[in-house]
Amino acid sequence: MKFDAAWLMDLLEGAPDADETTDKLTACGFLVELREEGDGGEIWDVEVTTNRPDAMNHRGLAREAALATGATLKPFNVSLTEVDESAADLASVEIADPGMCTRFCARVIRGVKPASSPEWMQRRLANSGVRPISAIVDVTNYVLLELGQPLHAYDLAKVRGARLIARRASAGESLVTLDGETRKLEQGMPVIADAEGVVGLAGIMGGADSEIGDTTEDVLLEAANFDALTVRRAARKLGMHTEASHRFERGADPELPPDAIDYAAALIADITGGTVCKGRIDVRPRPWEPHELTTTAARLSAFMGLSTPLERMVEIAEGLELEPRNDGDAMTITVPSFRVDLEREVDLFEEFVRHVGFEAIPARLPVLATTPGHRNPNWELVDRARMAAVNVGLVEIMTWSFIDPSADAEVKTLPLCPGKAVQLDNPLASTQATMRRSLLPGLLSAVRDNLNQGERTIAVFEQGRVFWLADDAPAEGERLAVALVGSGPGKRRAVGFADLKGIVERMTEELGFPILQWRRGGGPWLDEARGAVIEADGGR
Amino acid sequence: MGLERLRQVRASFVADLKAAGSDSEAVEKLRVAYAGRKSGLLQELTGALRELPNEAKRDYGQALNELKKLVEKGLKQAKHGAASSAGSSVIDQVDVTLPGLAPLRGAEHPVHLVRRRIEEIFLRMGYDVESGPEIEDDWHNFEALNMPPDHPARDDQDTFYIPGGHVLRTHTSPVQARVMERKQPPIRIVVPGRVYRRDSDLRHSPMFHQIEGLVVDEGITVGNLKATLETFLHALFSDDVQVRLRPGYFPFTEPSAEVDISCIFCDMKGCGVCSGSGWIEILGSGMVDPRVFEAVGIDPERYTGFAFGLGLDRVAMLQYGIPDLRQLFAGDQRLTRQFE
Repeated sequence: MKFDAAWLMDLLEGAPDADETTDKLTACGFLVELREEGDGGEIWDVEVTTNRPDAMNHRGLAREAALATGATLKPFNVSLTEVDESAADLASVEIADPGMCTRFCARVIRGVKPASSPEWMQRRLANSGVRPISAIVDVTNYVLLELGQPLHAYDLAKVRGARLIARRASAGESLVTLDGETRKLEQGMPVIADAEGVVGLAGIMGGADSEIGDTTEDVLLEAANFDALTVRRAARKLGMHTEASHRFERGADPELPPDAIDYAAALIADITGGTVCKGRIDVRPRPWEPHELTTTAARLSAFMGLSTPLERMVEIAEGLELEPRNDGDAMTITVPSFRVDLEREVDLFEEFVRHVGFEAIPARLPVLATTPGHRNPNWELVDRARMAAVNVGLVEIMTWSFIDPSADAEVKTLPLCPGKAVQLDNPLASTQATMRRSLLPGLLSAVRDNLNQGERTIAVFEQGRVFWLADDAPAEGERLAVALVGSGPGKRRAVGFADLKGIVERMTEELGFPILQWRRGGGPWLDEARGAVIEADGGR
Repeated sequence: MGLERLRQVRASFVADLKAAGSDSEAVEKLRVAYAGRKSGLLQELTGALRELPNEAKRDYGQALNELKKLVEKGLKQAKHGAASSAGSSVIDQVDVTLPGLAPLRGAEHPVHLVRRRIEEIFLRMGYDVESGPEIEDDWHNFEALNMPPDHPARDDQDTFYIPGGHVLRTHTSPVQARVMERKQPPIRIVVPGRVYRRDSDLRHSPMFHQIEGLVVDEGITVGNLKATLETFLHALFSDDVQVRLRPGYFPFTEPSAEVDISCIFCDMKGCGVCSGSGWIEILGSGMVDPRVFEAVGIDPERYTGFAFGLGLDRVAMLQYGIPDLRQLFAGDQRLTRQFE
């Protein structure tokens, strides 16, 4: 994820230089993969893991950087001027399904004029990988990138009944989204509707009909919290992935909408000359309830293998805004609303490990019984077979486990074909749609490719698994196949049946298999005159 | 050129001598052809000595002397009718300087070479080597590893699906779950095997190979994980490589660590292989998440453990300089022949 370095630094007081800051971010779990020159400063490409939606914005990452570098995160302040006209008189909000929407904040800004966002904002957006569009849209993106709250702005005049409802879609409903695509909705998908119909895909993308345009005078702003799983299922079904859905799917902060909407309203008023109506509409069926976690220095130290004093734990917990309280040896913290990943004591251990640093933890090998290791007997046998093949002069190759269905169709006729083939639901290519039931098609393709490369002597083997359906349940087994072409191993004369037989005999002898019987046998893949079926203990 | 020419002359002389048998006329012809003062071959070969570079003169001279002695002895034996008898007869002599006829030699695929090297390192440390199915059920590949349905981390593992709720395993980790389901701690295993992800470019192949490690016992610490990885990576690469653990995220470990080694190509100065960073990401690891223990029936209050995994193909690419991962599975025997 791209971050504007100057923006990040602007949120910090007393931060060290960029080199040290990026090193410390990497050390506490935010790998700075790339630093490149952007517009008016550096762009940092930072890997934010999927469990940390709270750090998928500049302020969240700055919080980590502050603790890691000893800098201070500047407090968040919004100064908002409201006019007397009340938002509640102009618009209303309803949560029809509290399962999909836990909180819905709205504000009204009147008398906006078309404008583009200021140059500094455009620069920050562009450096963060977001294309500037127009002042109001830019502000919603800006607040998302700074605080992590997805927002949506509606043209109030186009919201029928001046009313927004968070509900599930009914079968047969559809919507043209902002990207111009017509989306057929399935029953149960999360939507925002007005008095007459769907105006947006909740947590994913707004609708085109209520979009902000040059004629927009009054803006209805939405900052809501949607259920992660509901958004995720809908986005996947629709094949959509947006900045908003990315964050909701991973868990957005339920306490963030009020601050975020005030911040956005203030910026919109400031840039477009509009006025913010009095009052923030804030609907929440059930309030967010904080939970606590408790641990002790002794438990943490035993887990890490490093004695860690309680004072250091408190320091880290404070930096992460966990409100630590000490009770003797124990420390209790309150999980802030933005840390959806902190559920158990072990999650707390992770926080201490991250900020104490792996570097500081002494490397000490575990004390384990001094017994020798063993290979699983099947695995051992497979390796012995492979080595036996190498020892008779064969070169090992690997080919794909999946093959062309047409090649597989021919395998069906082989005497050793084990059962029905396993098909992939979602192959990468139609020529890789079937799991191999035999190594022979892959081996023959390899022989052909080697000949095409100008190789005249081919002596190869492949060892690998084959797959089939046994009573509709997938099954698999180990196989080894050999191919000789041209003058064979040793390059002394043209290969013949006896060369292959010699290899089989030597290998089975090395593996201790019972005496084999050789019978002339053809079959669809073999020349009648020179094919054989080998039997061991009555089985083929 | 020089020595090779001597070998040819030697071989043709022995053949001619054999053909001449005890026919004295033929033997005389041979003498003229080889040892004749004016235009004999030996004379010509002696003349060639001058043309040779100084450093080659000594070896050539020695070989030429031996050839002269051989011709002299051979002609003498022929004259006395002893040429066809055994013993020190010239025509039975073996040229010990000729290249040998090598016995056949096969070769292992580089991915298997790497796998077996890594297995050996861990076998020596007392780990068992385990294996499991490549077609897995959802429980072992995902759910038991703390990835319930709809978990966002499933997005990162582009999965091949098979009708009936099975998948091609996306990692070797399901074998961890299988082993823990049937065995109580202490556990220390490594699990090599083939895995699949729906992705294909220079660095991703829809089929590749991993090896996974798992240690579960009472009192296993983060420090134990760190030491084990350092010991292993030093054994695999060299004692000089630096090992760096960075916090990362995997659903089945908590905390998790990405592990880098100092770039073995540029001495951390920054190069194409390490993308200029001086570090090469080599494996993923972490402390086993208590939810995994709960899923497989191991008491998370009593036991802790660590797990790690790395790509065998990636190590093969690094160690043998193979640029495209997919090249490993093209069935090209020339690739493997490099490792004879």
